[in-house]
Amino acid sequence: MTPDYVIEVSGLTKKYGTVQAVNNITFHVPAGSVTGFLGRNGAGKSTTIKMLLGMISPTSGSGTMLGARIDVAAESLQARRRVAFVGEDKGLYPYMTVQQLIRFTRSFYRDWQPEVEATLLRRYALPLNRKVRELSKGMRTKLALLLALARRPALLILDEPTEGLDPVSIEDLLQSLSGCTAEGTTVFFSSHQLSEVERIADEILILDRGRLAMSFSMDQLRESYRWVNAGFDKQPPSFEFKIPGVEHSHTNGRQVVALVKGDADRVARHAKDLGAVSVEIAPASLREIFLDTVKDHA
Amino acid sequence: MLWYKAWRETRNRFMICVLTLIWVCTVILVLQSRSRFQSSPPMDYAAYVWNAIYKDYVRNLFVVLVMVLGCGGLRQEQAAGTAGFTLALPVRRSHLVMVRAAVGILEVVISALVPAFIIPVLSRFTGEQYAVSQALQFAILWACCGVLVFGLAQLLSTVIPGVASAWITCFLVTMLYTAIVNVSELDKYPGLDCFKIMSGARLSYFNPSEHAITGPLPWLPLGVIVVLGAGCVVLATRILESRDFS
Amino acid sequence: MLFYKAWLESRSRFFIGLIVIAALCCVFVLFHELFRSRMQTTRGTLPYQDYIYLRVYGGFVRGIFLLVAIVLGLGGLNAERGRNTLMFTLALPVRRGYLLATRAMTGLAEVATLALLPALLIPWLSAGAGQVYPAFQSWNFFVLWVAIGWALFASAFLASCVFENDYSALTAALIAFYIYPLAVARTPFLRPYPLHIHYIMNGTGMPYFDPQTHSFVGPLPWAILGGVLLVSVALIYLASQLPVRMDRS
Repeated sequence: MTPDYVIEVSGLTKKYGTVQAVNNITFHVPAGSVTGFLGRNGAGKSTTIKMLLGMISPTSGSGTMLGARIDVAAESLQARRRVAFVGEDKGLYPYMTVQQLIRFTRSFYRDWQPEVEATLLRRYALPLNRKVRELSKGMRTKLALLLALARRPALLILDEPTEGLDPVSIEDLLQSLSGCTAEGTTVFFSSHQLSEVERIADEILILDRGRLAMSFSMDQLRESYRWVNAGFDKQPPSFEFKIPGVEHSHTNGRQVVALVKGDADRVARHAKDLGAVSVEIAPASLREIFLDTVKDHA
Repeated sequence: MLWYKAWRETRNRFMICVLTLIWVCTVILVLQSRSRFQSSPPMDYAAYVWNAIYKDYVRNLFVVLVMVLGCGGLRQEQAAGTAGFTLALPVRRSHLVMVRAAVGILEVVISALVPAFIIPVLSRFTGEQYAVSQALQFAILWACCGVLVFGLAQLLSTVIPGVASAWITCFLVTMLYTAIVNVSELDKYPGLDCFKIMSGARLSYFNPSEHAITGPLPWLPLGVIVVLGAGCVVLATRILESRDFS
Repeated sequence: MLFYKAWLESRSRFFIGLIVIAALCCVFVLFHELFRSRMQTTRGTLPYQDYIYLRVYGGFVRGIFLLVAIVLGLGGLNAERGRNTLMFTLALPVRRGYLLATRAMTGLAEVATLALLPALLIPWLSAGAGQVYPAFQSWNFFVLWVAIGWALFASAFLASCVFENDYSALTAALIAFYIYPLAVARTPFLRPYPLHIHYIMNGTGMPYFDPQTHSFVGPLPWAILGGVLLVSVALIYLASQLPVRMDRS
């Protein structure tokens, strides 16, 4: 039985000497969702994913994946039986042929689906007898995806899955990922391609310099997040915008731009009370929120 | 299928190792008459085989090749970028190491058996005789000591990144061990020298005048050697289990 | 900066070799009484010069030096392919021959430095231990070690360019190291010629070396050493002519 949340982490921290790669993050991933895991390079996304998969031990904090504790080797092993993972570097054994690698991977999973394997082999046009070392990066990515998708995993974790793929293959992949949830698979993926994330994700986590900067659902984004752009005739008092509902705010000349979650009209009224000569409310896109979030912390 | 993976990763090295041992043993045996009678005093056949193969030259080659077979594993996979895929498989790290060790030890045993097959067979072609039982007893000595060398190489390659650095460290550790057991008070106890056990030199089961194993094999020391080799593999497992693969 | 890159890639192997060779020279010289007492001959205690030859220049340390020389020859572009840095390196605005040349020159310098260690340490430490080891003996051995060390380095260098991974290159280099002397010593038509690298290096059966006193009695075999040097250069040149295997990535 799949729990309500397939991933739950609390206070998860990873330190390398004095460097804090992941700093006290807490989040959960609902079952059946497609969760996009965003952040700049070095934000700690891959480290978090490796901690989830038991490749790295957390310095502190705790977490579960499919109900199994990530820092207990035996439980992590049980969880990995139901998890498919596609790594960032798509590192596959170069000395095996495509066919040998498929046969090798298949032997570890009871939920392997030969018909999906055959479909994906056709769709991706993978040469069965070619060695992995002779595949292009895009082909290697497709093979890694085939190995992950040709099962019915409870959780599919992907680290930069579209990197190296051509536009047609990206489209194929996005459709496959969207379709996964219908079969009961939860998808957790990191990506720098915000437009792709926006298309298929239900939930968003933004990591910035090891900290969880934002967490929201796409529904919330569409319904609740707004930009309030207030113009003043003198230098505006930006600290006055640190009020409930304002996620971030920054001053640009005589303009104050605030990202608001919830009642944007109330913030607009607040701006007018502070002497704003013009106030605009506009819907927020994922790209704008992401850039604003990571820029704030840069 | 982990067995298959371990085999694929090591088969080139293993095949080269076996072919080399076959070639070297063949050359030594085919050229035996010229070499034996050119030495002073001329050697009998058993002495020649022991001196050329079991005592020194081929034995050392075997040890060096076993070190190469022992190198590798997850640490080297990390450098090659495939550790992420391997670690995401639903298997314990200890299982990965054990399968790799089992395949490696099997390869070591087969390599140790090469002279045991080659020597009796080729001896007949050259008009000489070498007892299969002798060759098999030496194979047992080589295989057991090979397990220890293999375990040491595997342990060091979990600690030291880079094939060449792991190998050279393993070689130097082995040399240091040889130096310690040969030049100190320990020299009085040849049974402590793994390489003397392999050749039988100065040990009770080996008759130096006949150049043959005449007594029962030292099963207890051999058992201890195999346990030490297994201990190295277990230690390597423990190290890997607690290691971060970032 | 390519020299710097080559140095960074090989320095851990170099330092392992340096520390071990230096430590062994120190141990063998400073504890010579202990070791020599175990090496009694029919003439009594082994003379110091003979002892140094048997432990350092003719035996144990020499073997380690040669294997370190082989290990220093490994690496290079084929190994970089395995680490996914090949494209970066090949994209640098330098000729591939220059890449190989800098790696070879760095390695050759490292091998020469390792050969220099006993030449410097043995006479100096011997004086400290109340013994004498003639400096000219050490310098003669230094020349022989450099020449043969370079040849083995070059053979491993070639192996690292032929084979696609470190394991195969290491195995091939080691096998060549073991088989070459056997082939030379056992092949009738090659035996009369001074082709056995170990004998050239330790003086066995050579006119310039007296096996009784373990000392040099004649001029070094410059023609042979020149030949060895030419072979080394040829091996490195051959390595530079081999195409780099360019898997798609």
